[in-house]
Amino acid sequence: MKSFLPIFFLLVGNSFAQDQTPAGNAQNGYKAYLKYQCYTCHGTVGQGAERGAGPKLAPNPFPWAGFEFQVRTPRQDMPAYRKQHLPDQELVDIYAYVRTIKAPPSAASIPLLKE
Amino acid sequence: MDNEARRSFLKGAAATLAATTVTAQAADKPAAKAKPGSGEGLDKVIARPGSDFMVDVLRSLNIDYVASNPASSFRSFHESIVNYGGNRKPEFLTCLHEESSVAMAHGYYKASGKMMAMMAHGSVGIQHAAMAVYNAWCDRVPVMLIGGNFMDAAQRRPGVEWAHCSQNAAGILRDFIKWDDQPASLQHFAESTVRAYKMAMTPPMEPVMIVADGMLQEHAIDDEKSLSIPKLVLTAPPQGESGAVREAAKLLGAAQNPVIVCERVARNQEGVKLMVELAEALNAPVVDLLGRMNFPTTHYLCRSSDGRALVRDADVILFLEVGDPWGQMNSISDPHHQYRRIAKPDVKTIHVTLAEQLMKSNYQDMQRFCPVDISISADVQATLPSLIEFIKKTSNARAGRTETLRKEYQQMKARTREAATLGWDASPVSTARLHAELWQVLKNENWCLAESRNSSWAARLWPATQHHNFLGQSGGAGVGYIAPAAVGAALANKDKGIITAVVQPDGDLMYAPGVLWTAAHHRIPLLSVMHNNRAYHQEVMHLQKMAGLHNRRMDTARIGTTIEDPNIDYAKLAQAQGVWAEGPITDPAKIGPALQRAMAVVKKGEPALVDVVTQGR
Repeated sequence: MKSFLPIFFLLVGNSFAQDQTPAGNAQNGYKAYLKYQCYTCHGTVGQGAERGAGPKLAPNPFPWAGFEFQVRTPRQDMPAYRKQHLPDQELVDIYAYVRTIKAPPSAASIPLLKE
Repeated sequence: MDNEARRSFLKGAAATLAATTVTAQAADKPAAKAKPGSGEGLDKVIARPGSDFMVDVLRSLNIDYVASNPASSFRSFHESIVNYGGNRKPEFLTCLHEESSVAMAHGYYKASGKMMAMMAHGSVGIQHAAMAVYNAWCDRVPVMLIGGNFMDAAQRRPGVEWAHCSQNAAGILRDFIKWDDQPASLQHFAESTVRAYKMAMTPPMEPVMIVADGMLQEHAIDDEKSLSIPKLVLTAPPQGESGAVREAAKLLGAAQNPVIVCERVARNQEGVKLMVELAEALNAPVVDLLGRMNFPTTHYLCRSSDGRALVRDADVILFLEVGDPWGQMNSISDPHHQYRRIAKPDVKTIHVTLAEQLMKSNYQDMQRFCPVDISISADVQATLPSLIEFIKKTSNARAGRTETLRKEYQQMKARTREAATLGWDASPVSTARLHAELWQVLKNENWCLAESRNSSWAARLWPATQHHNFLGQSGGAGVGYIAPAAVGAALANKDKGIITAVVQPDGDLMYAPGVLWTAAHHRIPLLSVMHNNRAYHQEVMHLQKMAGLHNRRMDTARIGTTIEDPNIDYAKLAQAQGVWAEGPITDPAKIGPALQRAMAVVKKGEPALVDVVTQGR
């Protein structure tokens, strides 16, 4: 799983600050994403999973306020991750990780997915 | 073996040799009746045991295979299959677990439309078989179950044989089989076995059981001339009552937004053809729940991925043999159990189903009661011709909407392809990538995916037009179905030039992995691709939900739910049983070449397995 951890994770905190999102450490966020098992429903790269497991988180996650709200007081089937079990800083870090996930190649560019 | 045991063994072997010699010499002599307890009988020969006649009965039913783990309660039947019958039609398939035997028969039926028999030992074998029988019951699949049992207590050998006999051998299964009997004579056996076959093959199809008494098997046939095997004439499946079918056609013809939801409809390609005719007559989208392959995924009216939205907007819903119509029109949140209506409150509903014809109380596979506006108790495939005929005579409110529907179909397919790109290069491998890679080795073949509900990607991405392309799922969701059912399906497809593949979950395989040996032993060509997420993944998510509900820590959800530390090496597991295998593969780029190598093995008539470490779902 080390392949998911490009060095630029360390730099994303500053860029988050520019859009009023709390600063987070993406590298720590990736660890927290695995530790709190976000990946079981959303996949290790936030791609989501089928059969009702969980929607995609990335690329282009929804804004921080909505992200935090959903994690703390979820709608639908997602379990609630409350502060005493997922501290604020780790949630911020998780969001930082999710924001670093790049868009996949388009379907048109993948030979296996051509019609 | 110590010296005493060796002497004892040699003594026994000498006696056996003597008995064999006598047997060979006396093969044509009429059987002598030995007095119980007299010690007589070494020179006794039963040249024509009852079990030979039982084989004749199975042959009369055109049963090609008997899947079984060998056992003493049907030793005579077994011997008659291999020696009297020459192990041909039926052939004895060596299984390492009764659950595998039943599930093989389950998969075999879905691929071939033919019943397979399986044999289970008295009490314990039937207990092993039970879960797989339940799956077949829930999936409306016929299986001929044969139980061995010694009813006459005075004839039983002391010890284990008593523990393996019961008064009511089929009792443990009776809640989820259609019919059973324990014949007291050979004529009774013939009539009940033909009856059982006929009942099993009459929709709603279900498993049936015949308990073959051990002494009836082993004793000589008394008066063969008096025995006869009844002629089998299968019952025509029941059609819907014409008045109700006409009313359904009127309702559908007048609908603005009808949707067809189907699950266990097509029995063969004719059923698929009829479904296309129905959908086109209505110009209505079809949501195929894939209990069977009902509708081509290439057709512009195949809109299974849009099911919820279509149900939400529908003014008329036609359910065709759907196990849970209530669940299609409502949702329930988990873990809070809050109900939400999805369908419109005034939606009109029609259900053609045989569910009410056969429902038992104990096991609750009937799902929540769902009132409908028109309820037709009938076999769908048999009813479709008249329904289509009535619809064609009515006005069609949607005749001019074909272009819109084609566009919506193309949009759905485009969304699916884009969704498949997410995590494309991830490791563990995404399930979409896994299916896209598998398609590359199947696309130029006549293919069959032996289980098609555990993942939706095949139905979403692959162009499927043939009834044998997708074989649906287990029915009861009893884990352990997929591997043996795939072996059974591959056996059915073996001589038809159909390549059988399965995306094999790790947890499912580990229930009874010995079925891989059965595939190798019987040279059954099956391409297994592991969906190895190293967990009972659904249970991980359940633990997370419970922790959230109880306001407790989440990071413990993998305790008791994962299959790691150590990781199971599925390639080695397969290789140890004589199956060609590669893996574990974690780099998605390496899947394609491995599948090509595996396919070469399968094309030579052997099973192959590629272990791929995957995302959870």
